[in-house]
Amino acid sequence: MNKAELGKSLTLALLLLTTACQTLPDSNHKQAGKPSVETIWAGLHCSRERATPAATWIDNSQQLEASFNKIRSATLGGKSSESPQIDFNNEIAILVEMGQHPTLGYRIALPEPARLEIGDDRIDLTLDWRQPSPDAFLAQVTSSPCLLLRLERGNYHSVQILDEEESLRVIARMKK
Amino acid sequence: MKYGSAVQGALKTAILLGGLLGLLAGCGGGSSGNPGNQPGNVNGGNTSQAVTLSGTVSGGANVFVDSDVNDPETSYVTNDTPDQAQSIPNPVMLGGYLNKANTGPAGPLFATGDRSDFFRVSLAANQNVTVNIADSDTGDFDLYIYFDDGSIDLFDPDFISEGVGQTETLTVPQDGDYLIEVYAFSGYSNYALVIGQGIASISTDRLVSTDNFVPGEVIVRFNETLLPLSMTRTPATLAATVGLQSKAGDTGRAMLMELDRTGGLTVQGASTNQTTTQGRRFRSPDPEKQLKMDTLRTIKLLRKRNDIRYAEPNFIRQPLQVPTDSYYGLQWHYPFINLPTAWDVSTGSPTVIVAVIDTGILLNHPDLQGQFSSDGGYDFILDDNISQDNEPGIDANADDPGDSRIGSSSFHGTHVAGTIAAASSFGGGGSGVAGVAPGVKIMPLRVLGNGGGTGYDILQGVRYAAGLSNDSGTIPPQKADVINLSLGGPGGSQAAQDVYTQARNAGVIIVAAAGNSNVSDPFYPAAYNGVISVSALDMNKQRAPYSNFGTTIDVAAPGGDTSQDLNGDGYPDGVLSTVGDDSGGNIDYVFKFLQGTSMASPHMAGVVALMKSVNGNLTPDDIDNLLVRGQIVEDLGTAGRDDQFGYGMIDARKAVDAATALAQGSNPDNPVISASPASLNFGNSSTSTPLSIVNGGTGALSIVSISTSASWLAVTPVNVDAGTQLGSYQVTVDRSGLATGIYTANITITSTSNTVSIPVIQRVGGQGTNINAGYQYILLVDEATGNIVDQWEGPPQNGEYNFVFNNVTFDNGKTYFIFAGTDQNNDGFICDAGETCGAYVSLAQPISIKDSSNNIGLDFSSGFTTGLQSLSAPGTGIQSQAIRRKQTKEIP
Repeated sequence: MNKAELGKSLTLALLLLTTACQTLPDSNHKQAGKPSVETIWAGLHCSRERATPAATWIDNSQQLEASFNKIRSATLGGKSSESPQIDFNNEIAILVEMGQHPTLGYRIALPEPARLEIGDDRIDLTLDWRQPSPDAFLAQVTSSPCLLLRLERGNYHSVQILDEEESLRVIARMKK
Repeated sequence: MKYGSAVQGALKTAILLGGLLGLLAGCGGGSSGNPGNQPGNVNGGNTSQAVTLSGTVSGGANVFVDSDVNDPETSYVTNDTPDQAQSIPNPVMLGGYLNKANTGPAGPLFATGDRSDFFRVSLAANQNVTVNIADSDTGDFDLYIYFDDGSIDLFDPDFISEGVGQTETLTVPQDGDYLIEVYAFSGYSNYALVIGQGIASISTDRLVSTDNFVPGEVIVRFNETLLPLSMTRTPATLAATVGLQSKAGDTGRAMLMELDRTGGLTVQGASTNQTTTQGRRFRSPDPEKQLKMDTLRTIKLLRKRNDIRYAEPNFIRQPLQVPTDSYYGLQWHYPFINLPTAWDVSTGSPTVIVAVIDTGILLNHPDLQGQFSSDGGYDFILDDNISQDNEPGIDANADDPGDSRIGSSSFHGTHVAGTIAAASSFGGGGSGVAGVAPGVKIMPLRVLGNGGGTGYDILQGVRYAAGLSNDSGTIPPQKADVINLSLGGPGGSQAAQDVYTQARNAGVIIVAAAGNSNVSDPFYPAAYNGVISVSALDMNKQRAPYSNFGTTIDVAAPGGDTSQDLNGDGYPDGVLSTVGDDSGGNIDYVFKFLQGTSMASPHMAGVVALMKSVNGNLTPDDIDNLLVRGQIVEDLGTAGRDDQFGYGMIDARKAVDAATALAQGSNPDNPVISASPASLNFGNSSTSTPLSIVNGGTGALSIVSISTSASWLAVTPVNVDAGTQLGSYQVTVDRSGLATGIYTANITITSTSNTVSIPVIQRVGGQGTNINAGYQYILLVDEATGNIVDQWEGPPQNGEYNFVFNNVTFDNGKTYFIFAGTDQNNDGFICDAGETCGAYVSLAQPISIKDSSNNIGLDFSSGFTTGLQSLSAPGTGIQSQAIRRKQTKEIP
């Protein structure tokens, strides 16, 4: 290959690389080296009976369907009853459950932009971990908020969930 | 039943000293007009003005006692076999005692036991025969009834009731002569056999041969935490542990099992023996009847196992007024509170409005179409960060936009509204879910949003609903009849109390959730005066694990427990109602099982709406009175009010019936006449008996008239209040000129509040049954100390007990009560449950005897009271007063 052809190839490669970067969804605000993350389902009554939070690493469709059925087990009817689709060749799902609380007013959410840090064989993911004001009047129904997140696969085997104050809430670990 | 506070406490606790004094002072001596045992008098002080007190205790014409009890003083006549059956009249209240050998208090029956009591009686069609077991912790008794046609097969009773609870009840199908057997399956206890007295206790634990259930099938739920860890848990293995076969269901929930139809009864090793340690084994030539009897016995034995959470017949249910909405079958919480029978009376009137003060409502939910009040409601959320409805400030749009931007909104108000009044189909078709009062209208008021709500916004919603001035500048054309508040917080304020008081004064009935923090601290607005606070129940009628409790709880209703699936329907045991799901971006109209006192409160609000539908004049005071009197609830927990369940679980049918009764003229603010005895049987020899008529409730009443329906029956006042005419009367019968036979009549007592009818039976000629209230102990009790000052005891003479207490002094203003009763189980206490009891002038209103009192003619009756209190405690029937007597003889 001569210099002109190399130059064209390099330019083309650079163009392709740039284009590839630009096709990533803006909501991921993907930074170099960090996997993309997005919310694919959120609920308030996800059937967790324990007050403690939990995070589950889901890496196959059977597990996803079981988890989705569980978090929707208290719901009848409706159109949004099919489990989300995930390409498990390239992605995983993380189910984050806040735990059961005595009222409404509790919520977890993925902030925009997403705050995600790469650690040593792990990812630190910050979520909005909201509790009601102690003097608020609240609806007296128990709630168990949850988020189902889609993450791009990468060189990590656990996902640490932090709150806005960077306190560790719960960890999802890859099953061996 | 409560006496004066000093006496109440002293009677049961301080008496050891009194008993010792009695033993020292009392064996023999004392005067009498009756050859009973008179242990003698205790002189309480200066005798310068000692007097003699005397009177007659009558047994009460309808009162009988088992002829073989454990009291060694009684005249023992065995009634252990059909040939020895004791004849009893109808109606009757009979006190008895049974024990298996070597169980129970010391006495003549201890060693040998007395396992069966037989009674012979004539019954009318549809009469109830009820056995109330005084202490079901110590004794498990069953009730068997036979047609008295000369061929009695003790192993094939015609009717069987063999539960494990406190009550056994059977209803006979036709007029005729019957043999009744009360049988001690295990243990010992007093009991009361009640016929024709109107207190039919229908227990949810009943096991009755006449019920309609699938022979051979049992619904069983194991207590999995008590099973051996090493055990392989499959339906088949679990069924095998109890000698049954699995038919359907799975571990972790209710399973349908069936009896092994070849091997016979095998539960707990009870096999083919005629009489085993597990009771008499029935044998019938009718295979289906045999299978039904085996099924009942299997369930009875299963219920005694700790590893069984519950065991029930597989009942065959007949449809009542039942919605045909597609998910109604999953709404366990409606039959739970007797709603289907209430719907037979009313499904709600569109003239009744229930305000749902909440997150707003999905106004387009298909199952809520046509259910809203004409005013359309209002949104009172001031803060746009809370409101999130893109409509600044308060506005007239009460639609719930959701309280989350990320697709996890609660739509809580929609769920609450659906419980109250989701559109329901009763004639076929229908979709979705049913509501408690589908015929009423909902007023949607939005006060909760993102992060909850503020007290100010909530109060504006309350003001609007009550037709009071509010920040919207409008009032609805028709104010709400009921307000539901499935919300709250720990802080209260006087300003808020004032608003709730104003709303209540405007005639609005306010219902609120008690809170989900499992604490007894006051929770607002439920804890405000004038607000009905609702705690939550699970499917076992236990307080839900999250529910608040405490002194402010008024009533309980189903709130659910989603950690369980007790009915094995495959869904969590929450409350199913309308809701939205915005997880997919758009709002989907769905249905969810949720749990909370949020879910309990709208059950109560909906029932109140049904009550308003049949009686539009009901006031908040009416509801309170009905609650306090136990007339619209099923009493749970401790009898009467308690901190777990308030006055009990709301019962929709009782509620609409009570509302209907009020609409027909019964005034809830006035009390109810309590008459003792509640029925009179003069037999064939007695000619007179005392009758006590008192005010059994609160407020004032007076008697307008007392009339009789027969010329041979008369009622004359003895000692009555000049104004109210309440007090003691004498009822007499005159048999002159009457032909041989049985005569019945009624005494009708009309008051300014209500009317009571007392049935009377007498017999002329023929073989009658002796009136016998057993061996009576009549106690003279110091009112201040509760000490027994003197004791008279003896059998009846012509159905009466003429007692005398000599040398009674009234030093330092001393006053006395006189009590009477039997001690069938010989435990040293009279007036135990199942024993006769009486007081001068009546148990409902014992009167102190003072220095200036009349000292002779202190007449009263000793029997079983059926006044207001017993009616408010269904399932217990017979009250226990438990007064210690003096032990004057050695126990043989």
